[in-house]
Amino acid sequence: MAYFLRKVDYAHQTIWEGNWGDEYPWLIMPGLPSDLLGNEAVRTDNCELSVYFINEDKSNINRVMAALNAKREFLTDTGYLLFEESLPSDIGIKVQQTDGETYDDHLNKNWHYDLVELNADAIVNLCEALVERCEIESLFKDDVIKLIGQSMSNKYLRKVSKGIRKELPRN
Amino acid sequence: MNALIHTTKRSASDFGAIGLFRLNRKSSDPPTDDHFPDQDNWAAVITQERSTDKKAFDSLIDQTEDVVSFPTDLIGQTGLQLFRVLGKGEGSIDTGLMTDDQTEESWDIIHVPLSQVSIFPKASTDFLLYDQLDDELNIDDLFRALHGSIDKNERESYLMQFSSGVVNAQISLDEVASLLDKANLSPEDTYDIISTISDLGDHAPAGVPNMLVDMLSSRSAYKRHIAISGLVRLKDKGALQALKELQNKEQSTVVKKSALRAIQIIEGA
Repeated sequence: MAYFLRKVDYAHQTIWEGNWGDEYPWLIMPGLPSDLLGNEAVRTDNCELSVYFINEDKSNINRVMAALNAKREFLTDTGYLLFEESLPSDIGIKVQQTDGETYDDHLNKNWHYDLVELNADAIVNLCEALVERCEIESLFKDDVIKLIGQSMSNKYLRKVSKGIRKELPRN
Repeated sequence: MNALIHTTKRSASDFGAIGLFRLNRKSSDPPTDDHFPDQDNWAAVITQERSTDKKAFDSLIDQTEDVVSFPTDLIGQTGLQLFRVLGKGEGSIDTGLMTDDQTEESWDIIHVPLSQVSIFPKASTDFLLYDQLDDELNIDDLFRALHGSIDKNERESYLMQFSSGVVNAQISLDEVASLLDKANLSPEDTYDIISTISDLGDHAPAGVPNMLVDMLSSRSAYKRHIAISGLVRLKDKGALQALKELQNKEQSTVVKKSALRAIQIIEGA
């Protein structure tokens, strides 16, 4: 079973656990807090969401997260949601493989997908499915710096942004 | 006067990573115009550049065209909307100023000799900016601003004032805690405030680690999560015990894992 990864920054993660009693005591279950719809994880662009293919053994997660952060202008604490590759199709969402835009060319050609033709109902369905079925992982800035350093050593990244370059330790 | 400017991006890192231009304009500096009647001594923050190293900053100026917006009421200059680094000339920085009725092509160009440009470290910048705002800032205003339906730019300027106020100890940490607890802040805003305060490191008020430790007891999982982030930034070993206790009893898997990783990072620091 392979996975898809959707990057989501640190401040946007805990809501996906679904334990909303303390945050939204008025919320009648089952129900979704509307804040989910504005969450970075489901913020669409051109009615599409960018996701990344993750191997069954999850061995390429670090490489993907390095690539996603290497293009930023500055680093923050971050993280990702991980869900089964079958989840989108299970809820009727189309998936298309498209070229990515990171500095990792192999990733761009092989691991980048878009969830496409997303309407509002699809996003609500996706939220419900993610709350039930996603894994949530956090990465502190210190961790991200190490991942980018590893990807640079392995020559996965053809470059990093100027801002990130300044954050990396000098050898 | 000094000017408070916030970047168009909205993270705490942006707030903190700024260069401050102090423009001590002289009568010989072109142009003299009507837009800035009080232009003897004003300042501008340009970019989210983290470095305070002048060489690095010069390099940045070579390439950047960051647009930043002025909250015009704070600098007392009506009509001023944008400040843009246009490029670096020989030994100088050319900056563009656009007023309400101008297009980008008709920006006034102000030629600023490098000798009149100062780059301040973040904490100093916050102090300096705050100096100009202390008559306007109080916790009630901030609370209302963060609570209410104000536009995004205005809210961001309040957030920056808030962080500056903390630096300058005009706002007590009790008030910070109260605001974080009661105000209807989004996760991003809470994260911005905590990150900004935590990023001050040695410049942060002494009580910040304790405030963050107290936040570990919040009923809100995302506030506990964000407090952990702040403690990792500070790398304060005094927080280790509290983090270990949290890690043992935490119900949220996300928070529990973050606490464990935070302990590892702080212990290894």
